[in-house]
Amino acid sequence: MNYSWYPLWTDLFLYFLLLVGGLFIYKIRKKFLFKKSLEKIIINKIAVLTGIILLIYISICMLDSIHLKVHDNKKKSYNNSIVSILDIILYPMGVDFEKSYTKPFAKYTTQFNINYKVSELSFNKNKLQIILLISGKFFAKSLMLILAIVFIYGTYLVVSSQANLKNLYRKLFYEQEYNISRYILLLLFLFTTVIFLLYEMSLVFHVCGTDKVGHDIFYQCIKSIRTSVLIGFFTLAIMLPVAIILGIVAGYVGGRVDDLIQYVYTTISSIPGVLLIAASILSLQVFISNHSDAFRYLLERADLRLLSLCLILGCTGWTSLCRIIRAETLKIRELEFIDSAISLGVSKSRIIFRHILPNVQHIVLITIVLDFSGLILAEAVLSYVGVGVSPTTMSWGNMINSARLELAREPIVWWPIFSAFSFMFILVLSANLFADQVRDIIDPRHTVNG
Amino acid sequence: MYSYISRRILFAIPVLIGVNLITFILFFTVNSPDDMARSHLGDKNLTSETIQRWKKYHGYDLPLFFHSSERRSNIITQTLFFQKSIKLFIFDFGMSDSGRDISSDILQRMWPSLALAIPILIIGLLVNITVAMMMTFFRTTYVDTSGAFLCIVLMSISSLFYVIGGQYFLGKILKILPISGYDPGLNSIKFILLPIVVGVISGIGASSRWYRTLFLEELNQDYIKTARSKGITEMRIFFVHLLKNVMLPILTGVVVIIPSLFMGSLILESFFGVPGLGSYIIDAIQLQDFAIVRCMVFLGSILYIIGLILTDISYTIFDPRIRLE
Repeated sequence: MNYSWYPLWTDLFLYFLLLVGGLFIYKIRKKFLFKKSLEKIIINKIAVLTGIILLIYISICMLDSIHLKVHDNKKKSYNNSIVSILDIILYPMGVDFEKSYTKPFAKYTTQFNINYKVSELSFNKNKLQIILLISGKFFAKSLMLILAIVFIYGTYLVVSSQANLKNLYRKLFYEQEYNISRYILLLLFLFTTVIFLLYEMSLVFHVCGTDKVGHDIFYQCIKSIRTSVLIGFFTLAIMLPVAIILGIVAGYVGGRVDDLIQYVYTTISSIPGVLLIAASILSLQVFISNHSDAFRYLLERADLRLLSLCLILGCTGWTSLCRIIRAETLKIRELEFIDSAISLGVSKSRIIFRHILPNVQHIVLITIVLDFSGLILAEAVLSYVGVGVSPTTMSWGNMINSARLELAREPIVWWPIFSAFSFMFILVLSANLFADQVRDIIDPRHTVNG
Repeated sequence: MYSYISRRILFAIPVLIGVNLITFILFFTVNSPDDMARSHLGDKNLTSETIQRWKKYHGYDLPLFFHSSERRSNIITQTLFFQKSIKLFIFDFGMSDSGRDISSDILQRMWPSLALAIPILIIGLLVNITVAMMMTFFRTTYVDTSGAFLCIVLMSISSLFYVIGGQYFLGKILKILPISGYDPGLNSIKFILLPIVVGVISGIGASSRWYRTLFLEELNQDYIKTARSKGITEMRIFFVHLLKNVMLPILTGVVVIIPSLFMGSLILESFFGVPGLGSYIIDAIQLQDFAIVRCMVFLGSILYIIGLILTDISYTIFDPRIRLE
């Protein structure tokens, strides 16, 4: 059994984005405004909570974006022998099937899985006992983890001479100043507990049940995270540069250029978005079916479709941001500091990048987070219409679409649709709340009035 | 003002031509009619005769831009671009790929869409403004903060959830309303009630939050302070002074979408089985009927552009401060 690295196009694009994002943060890490707003975000409890949830989703997406090719046919085969790191971590989950529907917290029935931990948790015990056993074990494990973090943090405080051994205890547990560190530690503790617990349970139970053909719902929900996060990231990565540059240029240069850019975005925004996406996806489907030799694996085809969906969403999505940035630039252009820059002989491109761009940054940042959640919701609708990601890609939209008629069954099958909605809801709610909190912090003119 | 409006209308023409070109390129050059025929007929080993026959039958056998073997004006008119794209400008939608007349389909399916969309718009506006005003009235209290939080929660829920949840609870458990279906005439009321309820509820979160910020912004203005210092009651300030001024951005924001109401709502109509234009589009997409999708793209953009022009006009009517020269 050996693996070789097999990057998909979406993976490569994601790595590229991470590189660019990392370089950007590295570059601005010492800027005053960046540090100031980071400090304010850190002390905002809701922002920290939602930020951690977002980070967890994103890191699951990362794990799922490192694809390996399996060179071994003896082992119970994966779908198409390209797996991600996440598949390997979750190993028995995606491979083991039941015969049909099973309820949440149903034990695995297949022989394969019973072998797995039979020594540790003898299967004669009933479900509740197993749950208690696992919870106890993992509560203890994450408690140890968190104690380790506290220990390291305490050592850091002592070493950096912010505290000595005498007042360390008081500092860590009572002082107002360390309130937020305690809060973050508590959150980390809770999240690690929940994640480890779910992971360990998933080895014994179908945590969210299985669907009609016996596939694990929990596994599908987790794999769908990658699809959604990637759609959010890629679409933003495609639309942001276009929207920012065209918006600022239209607003600052004016004249013919302004007319042209206005014409382009009016034209694109006047086409109903869903229809444009549908038209493009229909065209793409015909293209793929005519060039089916070029894409050997099902996964590669689905991957191409995901990428082109993001491209189309990006092409239709930049217009509104462009319009806002143009209007903002028109306002900024009239301010005195631009006049003084011009009279000092600063070049046009320098004015755009050094003087106007920083002043529209807060609009861009808010759009990033708000559009991110909007795109995740849109993915579900598009999948329902049939022009979303490929039906073979696991996504919440596809799950909802295939499960929506199951509510009419007797007895009612609620868990597939419920799990998909909850996973999506948590991500979207976190993004929206994060945006709501951060908006107050980074928009200099925002006023909460009384 | 008239010169401004006529300029806006003239501006619409190049936009429409642009839309037309984009859709033409998407539908005819990215995929040639041969590809279309192949995906429609579905068979892997088709003879070229079958493809030719399909193309001839649907009128796709013409060249794209120039028909060199024809004479005079026919060089231009006997082409795909003229037959399929330019004719849209005179609202000649032609036949769908399954052989139905698109114009009569649209005329017939327009009314159910409107029956659904107009009540949702009006009731939604009333509800959202009421909620936003309540939150503003009780600002800095728990009513406002929890209301704002609830709005975020509501807007984080997928619209599919509202539809499925509404069908499940109101239709299946409580059995108040039929789950889906449609009847022409007045009988339709019991069928469209549930989609209307779902449509209004799914819109509350985002809109109320947006209106609340509008209210709060307006509340900071000087004329409100003047009114307070003159001793006008808070109720009168809210319902007379504030509401009038906030209605301005709200109404002008609504005007854009009024023409697009004809297009109907994609999700609501297809989930509730309303035979409107929204479900027409979804059916066309799922059947890969390119002719219908192309016509609806064009129709949609015309309606959007009409909306933009109406917005400009409504600014001049509602807001006396704006003079358009």
